[in-house]
Amino acid sequence: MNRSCVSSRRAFLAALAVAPLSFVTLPGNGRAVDGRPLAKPIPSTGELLPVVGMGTWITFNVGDDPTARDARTDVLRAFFAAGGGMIDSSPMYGTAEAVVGSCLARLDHPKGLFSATKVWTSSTAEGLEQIAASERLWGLQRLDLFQVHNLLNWRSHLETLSAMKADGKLRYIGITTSHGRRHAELAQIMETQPIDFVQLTYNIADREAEARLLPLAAERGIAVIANRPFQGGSLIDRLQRYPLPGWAREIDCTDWSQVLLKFIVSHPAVTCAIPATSRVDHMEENMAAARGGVPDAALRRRMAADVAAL
Amino acid sequence: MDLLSYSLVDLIPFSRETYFRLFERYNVGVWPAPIIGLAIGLTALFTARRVEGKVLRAPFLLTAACWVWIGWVFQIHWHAPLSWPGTYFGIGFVLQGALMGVVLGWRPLAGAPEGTHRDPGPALWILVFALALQPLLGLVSGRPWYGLEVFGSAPDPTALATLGLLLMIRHPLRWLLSIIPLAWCLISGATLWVLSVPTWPIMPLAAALYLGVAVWPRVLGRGELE
Ligand SMILES: NC(=O)c1ccc[n+]([C@@H]2O[C@H](COP(=O)([O-])OP(=O)(O)OC[C@H]3O[C@@H](n4cnc5c(N)ncnc54)[C@H](OP(=O)(O)O)[C@@H]3O)[C@@H](O)[C@H]2O)c1
Repeated sequence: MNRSCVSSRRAFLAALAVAPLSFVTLPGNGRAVDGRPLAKPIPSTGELLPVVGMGTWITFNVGDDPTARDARTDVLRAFFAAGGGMIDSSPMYGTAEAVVGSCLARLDHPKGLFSATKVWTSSTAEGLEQIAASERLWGLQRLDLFQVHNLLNWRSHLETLSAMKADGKLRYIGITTSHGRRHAELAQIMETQPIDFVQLTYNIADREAEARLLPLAAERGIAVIANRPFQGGSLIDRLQRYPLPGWAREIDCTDWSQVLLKFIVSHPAVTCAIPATSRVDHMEENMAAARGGVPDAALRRRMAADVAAL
Repeated sequence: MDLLSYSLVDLIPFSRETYFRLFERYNVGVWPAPIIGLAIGLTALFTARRVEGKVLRAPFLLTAACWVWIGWVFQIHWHAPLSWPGTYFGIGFVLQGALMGVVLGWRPLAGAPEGTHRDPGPALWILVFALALQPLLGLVSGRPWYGLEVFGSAPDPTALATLGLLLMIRHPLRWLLSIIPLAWCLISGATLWVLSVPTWPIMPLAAALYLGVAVWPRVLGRGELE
């Protein structure tokens, strides 16, 4: 085994050394066992979350189109078959929540779902309506995580969400941003508000979060969801023109998507990444990133440098 | 909403495939409205002529009705569920239809000055393009015939044809009636650009042609945007 690549048990131990209890798997060692994917704990409760979840921006906004809904049901089936957990959506994503809800119903509400959506409105009263609408659209009595989307009216929404969490009407609360926007304000919120999750853009090419937000999340015990793992598709499209570097095989990657996802989820402070896809084959590729070896800190540096040089 | 923190890509929450499927589902869902729209368009084309300095109001009023239909049915009921700006587009389309009805509906229309454009002139060319060629471009892009965007029921050809019609008349409020169709040309061009549809420049170029003909009469004839 190459020294810069630490697969399975050693990756697990290395991650533990960097951030205690920040990287664990479902029962067994660092390599997935029983066909189950790698998972990390949500710091505020210790509940395990598979490290690869999925997003729904664009890909699940297909309206009433029966053909497209059939195709998305297949994508969700593949997600759960591979041990997927978090599905992230938002009222901003058109019909995505309704489509997720109808696919979940068709799959008979598979086990393992961790439902995450957002509140996206400048009006506090409308926020309550959105929350109720999301529960209806997903077909769930209670969603796991509500996040304030893009910091919009965050003070007021966080108050509402905290009260709902205290009443047991939702399980976790969080806040989101993307594209590196408003990181200073996000840091302030992370420092002062009792949130469980933060969602931000983090991938091998967009690494601003490493400087302040990721260490802050680790320090404050906040779970991190990494959005735009493929820069909305443009990063992976660009990288696919190049052959996989030699080290990719050492961490069990057969595809660029796995390289990109393993880079993200091997950061000790990141809890999960949420790539979006409309295709079953891509879903299978992405979910394979939650298995096999994970890069250590040295290999992570090399991965970032090699990709930057392409 | 903090609109300034959003980029164009954030405002288009669907894929090209979903956008094209929207027109397929809409055309089938509102059938035979697309055929009626086309018939209205052909009527507009054949009645939109300057005769002794005057232009019939019929093509303008028929087109106004199409704007209201597209705003209410296409934008608000079909497009908006996929994309929240669709509601605002719908309001804009209904407003355009109402404006055309109110501004152009109650007195005879003066034609653009004789000799403004040599016939068939840019106005008729735009009309013919919007009615016949623009929908066919969809076929070239591999879209099925039942998913084509046609005058009267789809926004792009209707906005373009409206600009063609407006070039035919002389009216103090022509500039007002041009705002929403021109804005739609830019919005549509931007949407298709984000979706990487190769025909995206058509609508912005048509808007530029309209402004060229209307604002710079010395360069391209003697039309003017009063
Ligand atoms: N402010 C916020 O809260 C915020 C902002 C941005 C994103 N998000 C969340 O984060 C999620 C992910 O971000 P994103 O959707 O913008 O972008 P992304 O996940 O970085 O990229 C999605 C694109 O990657 C392609 N793709 C996926 N898997 C692939 C594979 N294995 N091989 C090749 N291409 C692949 C998909 O195309 P195919 O469909 O062809 O597979 C899709 O076009 C969103 O869906 C959303 O839930 C939240």
